[in-house]
Amino acid sequence: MRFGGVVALNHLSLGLNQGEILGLIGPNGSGKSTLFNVVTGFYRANEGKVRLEEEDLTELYPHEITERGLARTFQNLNLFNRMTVLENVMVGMHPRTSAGLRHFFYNPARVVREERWMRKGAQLILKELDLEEYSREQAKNLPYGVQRRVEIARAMATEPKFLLLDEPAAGLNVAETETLQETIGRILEKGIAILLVEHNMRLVMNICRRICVLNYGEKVAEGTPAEINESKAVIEAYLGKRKR
Amino acid sequence: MELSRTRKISYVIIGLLLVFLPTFVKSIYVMHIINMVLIYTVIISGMNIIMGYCGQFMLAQAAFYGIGAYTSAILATRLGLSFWICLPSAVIVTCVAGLLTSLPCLKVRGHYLAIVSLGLAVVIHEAMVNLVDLTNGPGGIIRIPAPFLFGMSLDTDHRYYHLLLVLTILSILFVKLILESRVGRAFIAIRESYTAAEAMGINHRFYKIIGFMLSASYAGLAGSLYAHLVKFISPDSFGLEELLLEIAMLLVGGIGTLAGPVLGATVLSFGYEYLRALKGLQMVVYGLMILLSVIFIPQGLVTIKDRVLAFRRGS
Amino acid sequence: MNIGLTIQILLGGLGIGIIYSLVGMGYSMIYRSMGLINFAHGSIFMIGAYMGLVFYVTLKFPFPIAFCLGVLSTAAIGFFLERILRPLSRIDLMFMLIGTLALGIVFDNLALIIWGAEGLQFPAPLGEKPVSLGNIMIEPQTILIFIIAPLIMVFLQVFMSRSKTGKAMRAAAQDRETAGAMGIPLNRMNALTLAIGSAMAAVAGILAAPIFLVSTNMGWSVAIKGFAAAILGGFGNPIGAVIGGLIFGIIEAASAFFISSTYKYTISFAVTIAVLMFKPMGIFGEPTIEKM
Repeated sequence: MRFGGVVALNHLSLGLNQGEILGLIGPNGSGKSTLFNVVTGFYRANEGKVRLEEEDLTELYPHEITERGLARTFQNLNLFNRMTVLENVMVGMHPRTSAGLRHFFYNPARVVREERWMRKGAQLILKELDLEEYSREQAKNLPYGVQRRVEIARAMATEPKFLLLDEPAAGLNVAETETLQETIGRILEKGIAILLVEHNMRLVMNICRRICVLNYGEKVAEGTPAEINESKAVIEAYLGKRKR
Repeated sequence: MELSRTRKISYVIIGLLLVFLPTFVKSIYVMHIINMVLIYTVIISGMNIIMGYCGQFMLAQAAFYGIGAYTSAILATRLGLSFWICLPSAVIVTCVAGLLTSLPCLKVRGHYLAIVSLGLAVVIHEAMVNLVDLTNGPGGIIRIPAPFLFGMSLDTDHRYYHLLLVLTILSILFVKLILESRVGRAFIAIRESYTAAEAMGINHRFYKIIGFMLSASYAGLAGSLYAHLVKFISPDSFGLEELLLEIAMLLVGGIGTLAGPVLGATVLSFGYEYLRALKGLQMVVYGLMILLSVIFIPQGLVTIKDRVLAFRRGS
Repeated sequence: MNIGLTIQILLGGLGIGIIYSLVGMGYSMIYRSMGLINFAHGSIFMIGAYMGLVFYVTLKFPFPIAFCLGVLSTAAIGFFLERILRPLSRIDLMFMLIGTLALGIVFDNLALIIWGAEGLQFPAPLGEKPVSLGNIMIEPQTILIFIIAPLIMVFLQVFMSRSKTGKAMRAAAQDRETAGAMGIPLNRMNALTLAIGSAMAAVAGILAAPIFLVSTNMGWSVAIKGFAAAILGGFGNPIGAVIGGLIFGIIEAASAFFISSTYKYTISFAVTIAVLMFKPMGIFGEPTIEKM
């Protein structure tokens, strides 16, 4: 993946299987966000392909990719600020419903039905993530930790098979991070695969069974947490080569 | 809907007032202003959908207003069609125009979108002036017939009022319906963050197009109603000045709110007329009013009530 | 096709194009430093023309002096406008649009009160008779434009890159906070930028005055086209505005001649829209790598 003269992702190959959680770590600028944006359809890759269960997603728009079961959160929160929490999550249900403007005219019953279904579904998700008390609050008025949870709730509403989390622990304190860990665990139990990009090493080492390390847009190591811990390549990536 | 008793009673009172308004208003002049307020409410409500709720800088509303007016006028004067055919036709034609103009606008954003939509409005306006065979050019179209309803010709402002009232109320209610639905949420999501909206499966280009079409339809409706009310239209009424007036109404009333368009249309229409007494200074004061309201009340007059209440509570 | 004819059209187009460029540059400059898109710019153009008229026709000063006084007085107006325009900067585009527009309406109508509704004639300083170069006819006013406008632009460029004030202005435009921290008086820099932008609009106004009729709404069509020119070239980029303006002028002249005079605005805008569809941020704007 090239930006002008800078090669952001160089022959990177990643695989994610159902029900597993893959951690993606690497120093700043190693291409994690770029990877995210390419996979979710926000950037068009210069070369290479993105595949979901045999289907080629490379040329698709982000909304089409979400429809096929790939959801994401954003590193710098991207909530719908002037909507309530409930509305934010209801937007997440958009790809699973289809009541359009024309239905107002020839099938209003369907509009009402789907609206009710969306509202119930959204409330369920809020309950699962302990966000019920905030459901009528405007997203911009919430404390940071809660906002992060709403982002995840919203992404979950799209009923994804694969969830891409972009630094979900950024800015969270210890208690909130533990809650996050639990939440991720529960998501995994549902059979959803997760790609977790994180800087919080503890979190990554705790929940990921497989970790991939990126540096300068290339994969420098891949393996279990233990293996990564020992890997020279990883240490070099973060701390630089040892000077003799 | 749970409404408190006082709420219900006040709605009934307001409803009665609105219905019997023409009997209270003796002056044709004032009645006409009221009718124009209703027409503008429709236009601005439409504009509010694409600009306020969807957050897109679409400056072609006055042109759509013109397309609606001209379509209706041409069908009525050239083909002798009844108003009740002209009106929906005007809406449909303008809706299609909205669709077509939306296409070049999809890739551009912010001030670039402003220029593209403005450019399209200029092109449409020029067409009105230059396609003389169709539109009769700068001379405009005269002798547009008034609608016939229940055997009565609605050829005065007082008679036209109820038709306008019903259609205006329906228009506002439709906006409310849309807002509280999946489509409305998609619009607002796009306004808040089109990136996140896409990530949530919303095809932002599609909804932009829908927004344009809706907005244009409202303008088309208003245009047709206008044409048959004043019975004479010319390109002058659908150019830059008109656009600025419309945007001012939207902003002064309160963009992105349901009541904003009504307030804006009312205040600016009556304001304009009452300032006439100032003659030369009329526009100067008018401009100053708008300037000050944008600086000091950017959220619109709609929020004044809340502000006053908050102030009273001592917050 | 006749070379002479082509050149004539080109020259005419460049002449009017430079006017658009001057206006467009004003937009870009003011936007870059203040984050303000000043839709009252067209009214300032109009004020510039009237100021020139006052000094040249009413007070009968010789043209060079009338020109300078006209430009300076308009610049002064621009300078003091900063106070009013300050709350309109860096806010949502819609509010900026209507606020500055309302200001423009106020100016237009004040001018209307002062000078009346009838258009006034601005005599061409170099006379009306077309000059011939070979087999090409060129209006003397166009020659004047070709001489004065580039001088102004070059002068501006030198001022911005060499002088202390110019550098301070550029610093303030690039990074407000740091510039402020370095002790640069931000508001005064903005006022200066407004003054210069207004001066350029005045230059355009006075140069264009003999061609158009001087009236209180002469500014609007030029304002829109100047804005479109700035957008065409990539907003915030003064060079882009220059190129955009010239392109706009040439398209107008060419289409007026070859296609039809009535549709020339349509064609100019149609071309602008077409360009923006391929390059949504203008000719010199950033290329987009995003799919969206």
